[in-house]
Amino acid sequence: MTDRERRVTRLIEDLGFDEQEARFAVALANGETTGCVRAISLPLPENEASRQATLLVEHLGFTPDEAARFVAGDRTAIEAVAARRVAADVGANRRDPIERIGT
Amino acid sequence: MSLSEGGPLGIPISRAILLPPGTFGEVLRLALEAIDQVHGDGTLTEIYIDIDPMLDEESMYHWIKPVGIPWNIALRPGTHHPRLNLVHEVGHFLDHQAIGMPGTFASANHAAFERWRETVQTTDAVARLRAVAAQSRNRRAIDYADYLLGVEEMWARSYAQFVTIRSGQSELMVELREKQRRSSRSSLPVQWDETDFLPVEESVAILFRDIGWMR
Repeated sequence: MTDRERRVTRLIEDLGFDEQEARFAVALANGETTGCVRAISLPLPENEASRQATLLVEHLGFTPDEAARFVAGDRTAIEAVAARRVAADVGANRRDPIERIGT
Repeated sequence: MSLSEGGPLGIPISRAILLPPGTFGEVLRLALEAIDQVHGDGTLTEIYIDIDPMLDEESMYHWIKPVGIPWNIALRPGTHHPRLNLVHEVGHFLDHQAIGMPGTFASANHAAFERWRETVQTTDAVARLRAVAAQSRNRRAIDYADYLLGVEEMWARSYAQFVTIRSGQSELMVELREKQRRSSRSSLPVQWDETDFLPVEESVAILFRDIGWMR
């Protein structure tokens, strides 16, 4: 049993944690996670940049070029995106869902 | 006004939360239906739910620093409480985007949360967490207690329990009951028992009525 496994087991046996919670607590104490809210800072590390750029294009209305620049740390890329989002009414749940399907 | 007078007002939250296709998306849809039964909201930007098998945590609300726009809610498949986790993360999303200034967590300072902030501090569950944070000799237990005592985390857990209880949605109730059972055996409770939660439930209902999300 590794030291990490011993710590997980101790939290389960001594403090009544379930296994997922115990693993989370060990990761928290080791500084491997900050919890379930995470701010993404720029530039993103290379191993994350490509995947996140794809998500920006697919989900947040970036062009591929804007997404590539943004994940590389160019925050100005978001200005054009923000302007388009405002123009398109970012309060999208105000609109009828059928209307949104067509957009 | 009694608690039974609640009911959603405003725009359904589910219109802004975009689920992944497939079976897991259908599992999660029940959680959004439960939220819609309980409250609506005002203007809310859209957010995607992404399934991420590589996620270390069970679930995560991501936002982009420093501009404060939401990125996604990521969920790891195969966890025990997928619906409750989603409602918990929606709680973070609403706190960050829908109340007060978008891009800041309103639960920490916004006046609308004042009654909730005061009430949650009076609960037995929070007292037990504080005791661990102050007295435990286990570093990991102290760190975890400090994390659970964070205002944003207490809000997300309050919100998840509120939506579960008010909707009565059966799958969410099963997931909550499991967490409550664990909490009752532990010095580090993550959810409140029924009696302990009653004043918190009322404070959340008042908050949502005050901001026009509930009748």
